[in-house]
Amino acid sequence: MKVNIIIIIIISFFIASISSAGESYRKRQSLAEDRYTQSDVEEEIRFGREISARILGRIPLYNNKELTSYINLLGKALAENCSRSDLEFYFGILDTEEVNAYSAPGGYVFVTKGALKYVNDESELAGILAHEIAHITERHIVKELNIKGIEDDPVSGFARFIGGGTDVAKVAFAQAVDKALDILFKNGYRRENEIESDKIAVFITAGTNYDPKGLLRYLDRISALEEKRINVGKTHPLYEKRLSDLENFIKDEVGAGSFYKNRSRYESIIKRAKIK
Amino acid sequence: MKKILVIIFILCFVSAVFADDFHYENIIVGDRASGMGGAYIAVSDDAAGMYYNPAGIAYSVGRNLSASVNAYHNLEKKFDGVIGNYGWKRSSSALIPNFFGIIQPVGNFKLGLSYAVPDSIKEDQDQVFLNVNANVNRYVINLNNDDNTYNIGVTIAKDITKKFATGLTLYLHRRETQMIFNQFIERTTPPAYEWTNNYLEVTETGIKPVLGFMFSPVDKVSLGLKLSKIFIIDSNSVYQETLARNGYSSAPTNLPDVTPTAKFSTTDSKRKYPYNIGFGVAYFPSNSLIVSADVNYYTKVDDDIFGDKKATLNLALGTEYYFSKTWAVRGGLFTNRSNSPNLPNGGRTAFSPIPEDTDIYGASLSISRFTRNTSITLGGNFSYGTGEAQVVSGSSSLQDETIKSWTIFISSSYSY
Repeated sequence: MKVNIIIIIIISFFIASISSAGESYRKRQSLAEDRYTQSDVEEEIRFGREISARILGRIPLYNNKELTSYINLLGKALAENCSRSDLEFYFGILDTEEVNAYSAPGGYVFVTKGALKYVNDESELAGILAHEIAHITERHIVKELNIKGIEDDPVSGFARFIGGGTDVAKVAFAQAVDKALDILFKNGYRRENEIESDKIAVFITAGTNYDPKGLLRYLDRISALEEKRINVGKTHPLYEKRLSDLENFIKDEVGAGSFYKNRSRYESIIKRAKIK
Repeated sequence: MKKILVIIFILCFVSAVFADDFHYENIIVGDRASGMGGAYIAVSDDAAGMYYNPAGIAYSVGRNLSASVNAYHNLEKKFDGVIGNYGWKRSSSALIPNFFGIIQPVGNFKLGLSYAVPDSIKEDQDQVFLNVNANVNRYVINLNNDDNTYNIGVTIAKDITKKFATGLTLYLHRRETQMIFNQFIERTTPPAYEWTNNYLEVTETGIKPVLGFMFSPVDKVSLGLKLSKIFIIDSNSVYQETLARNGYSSAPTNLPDVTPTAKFSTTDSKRKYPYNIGFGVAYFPSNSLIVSADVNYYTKVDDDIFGDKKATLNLALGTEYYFSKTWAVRGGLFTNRSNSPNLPNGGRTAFSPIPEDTDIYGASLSISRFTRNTSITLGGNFSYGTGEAQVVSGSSSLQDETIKSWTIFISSSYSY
């Protein structure tokens, strides 16, 4: 009898819970978002460096000095117009035919050789790089995995002392690196993170005087490739709504203007690098 | 009721003096939970949730959480009028690693490991009573009693929907008891003495599954349900009594002389534990306030060896208030009601404890200092109760009992 009552209570609560509010109310004031400290930024860079090393362990860099120099010049120009002046950005080309781009916290951006084949001008490449820069500036992985620096606060030190937390932190760091790689290579970013990065990329490219529609054109082209199931990385989901949102955003926020595409410069560099 | 006993009855004294078997909420476990009087079933969204309601950790904030609690626990029981006009006071104090827990997200699940000490007694008594009555000029008690319960186990939890989660903790239950009780009674004119030594050792191992559910039927309200029971798999109990008596054969004691005699008894009977059904409700009106309430129901236990227990209901009320991002206070009220069957109870065995029927009521308070990733908490609780106990085996006489308990604790927690 008692067991039946308990089962009924559980089922009732389950049914009631399906249509009710979420659990966000649990977040306490002590966990409210705080500003990022220098220690956090240092940890972010250390974390990103570890992820970059793991990425390069999987896919080697494409070794072409001129192309690497070009992409770094372009990327650093874009980074001048992003919101993270506390980071030094590095850009590299991955030697794979897969069509994709990656970024690691702390300022590490990679685009694949395969992706460069489907880029038609410099503004499109600027759009890709700006999108990856935005993942870094908005700390999408950092927030998802709660990457924070060690606190100098004596209270924190005492807490670690009586709880023996140092080893736990080391294990947590290693596990967070694995999870970040899962985000980059398997699961992808959250949908809202992708959309946010698209929008920020528009501001970064327009701010650098590149055609903000470059990213849109590239995504549209890649979207067609995906339909044909050509070798496109699955971690940047392409969908109709994303493209239409981006198009509307550009129309509303940027409007018409005189922006560079630099098609001929891009084509000549790509040709010399024998990418296409 | 107060009754002066003839000292000779003490010869049949406590055959087993245990940890507080007749109360279920002896030590409040956990960091925030300890400050909130244990009203935590519907909160449970940190490491202590693995103990109170494993479903709660599905909603824990932060990727990794760990918490440890170290507590100094003191328990004092006083039985009035047991030794002539003297009361018999027993006290226990111990520094207890009360809780440690860590939570780790793995895929869509939260996994955890936790260690809890829900009960711990450490008594060292060395008392001498002089001129108790005409038959006793000197009565000496030496008591050493260690009785500890440990739970260590793993937890898995999952939020089935954003408002409904379930979780399971599987604790290894281990209880170790070792008691040495030495009594010496002496009369100078005419000379007489009695010496008794009792030794008790109980070691039991079992499992304690804790199944939990957490629901959020409306915004800012959480309901929690937990079911648990300890199942003993292996138990070994040894009782040894040694008695020597000389000179008490004449009136009024009329007890025969006894040359030193040792009695042994052993049993592998398994202690029976009740089902625990706990229900909690918590209200989160803002990010600085929580109010919670728990009801814990324990079913009746029929146990011929270790003692019967009646069905028991305990209540707890707790609150947590953040007066800034870096400081929070917690307070709570709780009951720890007696599960003893009605007294007098004539069914004691060598392995069953002193029957006592004393409801305990307590309050708790703690303060926490937060940094971004860590917190340190200092707190304590105090509880008090009066009732009756049946101290002397073989006698239906009842003695007034007073129980006082206090705990202070320091704890820390982290998120990574």
